[in-house]
Amino acid sequence: MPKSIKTGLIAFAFLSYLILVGLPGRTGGNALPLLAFAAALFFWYRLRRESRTQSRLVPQSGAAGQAKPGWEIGHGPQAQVQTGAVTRGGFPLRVLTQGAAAGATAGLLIAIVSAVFAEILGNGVAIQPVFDKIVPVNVAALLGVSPGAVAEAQVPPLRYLISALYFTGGGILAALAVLAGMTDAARAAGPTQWRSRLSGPAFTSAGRWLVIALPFALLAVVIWLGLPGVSLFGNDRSTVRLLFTLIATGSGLFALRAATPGRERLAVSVLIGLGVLCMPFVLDQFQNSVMGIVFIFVMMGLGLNIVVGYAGLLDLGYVAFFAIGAYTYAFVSAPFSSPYISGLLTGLGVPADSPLLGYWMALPLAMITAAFGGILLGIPVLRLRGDYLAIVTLGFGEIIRLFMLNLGELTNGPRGILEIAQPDLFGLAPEAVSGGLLSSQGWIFLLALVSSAAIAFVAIRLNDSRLGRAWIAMQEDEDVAQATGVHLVRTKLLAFAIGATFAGLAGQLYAARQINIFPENFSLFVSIDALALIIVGGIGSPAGIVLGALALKGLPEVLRGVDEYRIVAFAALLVIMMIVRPAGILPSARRRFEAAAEEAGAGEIAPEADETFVKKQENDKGTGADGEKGAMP
Amino acid sequence: MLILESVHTFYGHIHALKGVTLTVNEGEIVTLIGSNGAGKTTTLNTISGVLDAQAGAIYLERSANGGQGRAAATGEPGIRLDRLPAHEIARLGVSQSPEGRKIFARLSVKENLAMGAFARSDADGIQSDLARVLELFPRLEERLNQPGGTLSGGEQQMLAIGRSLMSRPSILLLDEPSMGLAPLLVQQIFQIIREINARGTTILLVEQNAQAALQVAHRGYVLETGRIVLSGDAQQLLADPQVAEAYLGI
Repeated sequence: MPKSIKTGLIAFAFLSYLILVGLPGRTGGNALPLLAFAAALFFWYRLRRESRTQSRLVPQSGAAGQAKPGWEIGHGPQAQVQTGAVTRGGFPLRVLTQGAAAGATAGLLIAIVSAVFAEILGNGVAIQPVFDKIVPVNVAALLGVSPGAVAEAQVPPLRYLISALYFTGGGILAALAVLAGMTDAARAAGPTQWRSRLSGPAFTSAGRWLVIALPFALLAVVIWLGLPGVSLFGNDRSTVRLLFTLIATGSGLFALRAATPGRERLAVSVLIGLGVLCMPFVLDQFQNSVMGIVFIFVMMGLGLNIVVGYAGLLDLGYVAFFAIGAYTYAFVSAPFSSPYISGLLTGLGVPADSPLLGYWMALPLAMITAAFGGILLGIPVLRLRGDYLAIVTLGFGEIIRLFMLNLGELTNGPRGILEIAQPDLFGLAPEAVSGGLLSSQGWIFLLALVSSAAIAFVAIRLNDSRLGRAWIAMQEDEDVAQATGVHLVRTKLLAFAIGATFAGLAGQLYAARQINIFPENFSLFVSIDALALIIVGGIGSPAGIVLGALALKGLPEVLRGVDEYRIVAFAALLVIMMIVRPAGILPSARRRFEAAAEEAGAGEIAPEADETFVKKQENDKGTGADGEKGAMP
Repeated sequence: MLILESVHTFYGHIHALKGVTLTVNEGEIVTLIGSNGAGKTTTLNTISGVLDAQAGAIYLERSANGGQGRAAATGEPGIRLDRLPAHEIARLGVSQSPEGRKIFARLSVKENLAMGAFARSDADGIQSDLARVLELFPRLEERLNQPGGTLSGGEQQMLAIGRSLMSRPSILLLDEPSMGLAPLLVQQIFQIIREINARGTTILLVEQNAQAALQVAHRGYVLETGRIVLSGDAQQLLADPQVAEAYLGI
């Protein structure tokens, strides 16, 4: 119990700090989702600690037979923990007395102290100047009451307590649901070891269906929030809806993972695909525009993943290809914005006041120019690796941006290329075709979705191909790869070219989305964002990249109300992410192995294992009689 | 079938190979022994093209039943390997199993073996070679879909040899196959080397474990600070008091 109270006090101090800095007041209507998120993080963290201590306490004998005998990668003590299972009888009781109890203690403390604060301040006692941010509006928002409601109707102090209790209860229920959904083995292993499990179900059958159903439930909420007349206790409905859209999309990926491979996964993926495809039609301009940029970054992330994740070439100048794609489309779509091109066209007698090529005609052109740019960058850096490669590519990205800025004749310099045409649908405006169902931003979102899917398909196929194996071999050891017959120059240039092609596609769509593009759209930070999202999501894993883009490009839009705290909160989130899941949210199978091996320190393998193996082989001469746990150390 | 004529290799300014001349005949196991830093691995890396030879020539005889003990100095005895990039040398059937195993840890066992056959396009041949390698190393079959990095040291060595065999090499360059392995496993690895040779693959074996290497080899060369100081029949070398003192620790 003292430990629980300690946790409660920490949570209380943390949330008090949020009041002190005046966060709820600044966030206004966004306080509720923001704090719900903070609370969820807290409860999750608490549970994680509990399940860890539990797994250490599990005795080795007893229920070990219940564990699924899947192939597990743990070494030494970890592997033993995974085979041990928590006895079912003790489970709910233990959670109530440990994990959730701490949460409840924290929630109650917050509620009582906040209520006192609110009561005092509500009666006009001003504690200036340090605590000037502790105003009823802030405190109320912290407890899930809409600031608007406080300002207008003067909610009685008791209301704070009640909503705080709701808040606490919700957290406990969520925590229980998560725990109940997990299999005993997964629970015993604890979340930190989920990533090291290459196979084996992490959810019970009931929990699995819960995970599969979740995205559809969330999609229903998204649609419901869009209905006219729905209000969210005076909160900013549009932002909440965006948050739900982001979570629904992300949970869809987890649902895909939870579905068993085969017919079930096929069915689930078709359903999720349909659900995602209907999103552009039901969202409004704002959410569509955010989702559009999210998926444009998914396209970039998938392309960069080929260069960085598959081929292991750290490219910090990836924005260059994005810019090349965007400007290529800009030139052919709005030739009148470029003094040089319009002059050239007039000289040839071609009218320069309308697009030369439509979106679809320009598509191969943007791809080819970007791929050409990729090869252009690739050739000089062929012999560079690691840090040196990063610096040179960084320079390349800046060079392209400076070109765009200073080649005023061609690119119109900082004034940018204006009035780029929207993508058409069989030569018609998409709004007209869909009968008003699809907004212009929805159309961009839809295109980004379809392109992302196409790129993801290509990326996944590449990963399993001969070329994909060559990339990974090259990444691990260039000399050995070369000695097995890999043509290093060709393989590297192919990685650069294919990655650049995808960035070019993304750039073209970006140009069409922005209508007007300027050199400052293509700063270094685009490269860094793209790199950060694949690192956060999990290098090498397409699903992880989608999650990374949702978190890195989507969440900041939800947090926009926090203005100057946004970057700080976001950075903190990234740091926590990297500590908790160093291999990314959804690491690829290959990386998962690496993370697990690092954790277990399994660089070198004990020779005893080899001896047992020799003896074993001499005994049963390859009859395959030794079981799963054979000679693995 | 493989001829080195006074090959010189440098690491920057360091003169690592100072005119190595050696011959490997078809069907032989030839071993290259020597102490640390003698240039054994450098020799193999120069043959496979990972390192460039600054002077001298390396020839690979094309003919499948090339003359036994053919003299080194008769004109152009084959393809000049030292002028080719590493990936093309690999395509000519010179396959290296590198020191310290160096399997691709993140690729599965199956993918590692597929990497061995990277330069080949005959699907049927690859399939039958895969079956052959798995027959040779039944242990790998059990671990086909496991990442290479999760194998034990001995299994990794088997995978490294298996990967080299997947290219259906005319000559296999084995670099320290016994390094870091338990004695029992070393015995088994050498048994397998003999078996691979018996099935018709020529082997150039680099070893620290001179005793074991000379026992399986037909002929041997002793390398000392970048020069061949002694060569001859493996049995002869085993009996040589100089070799015994310097490398066999007797």
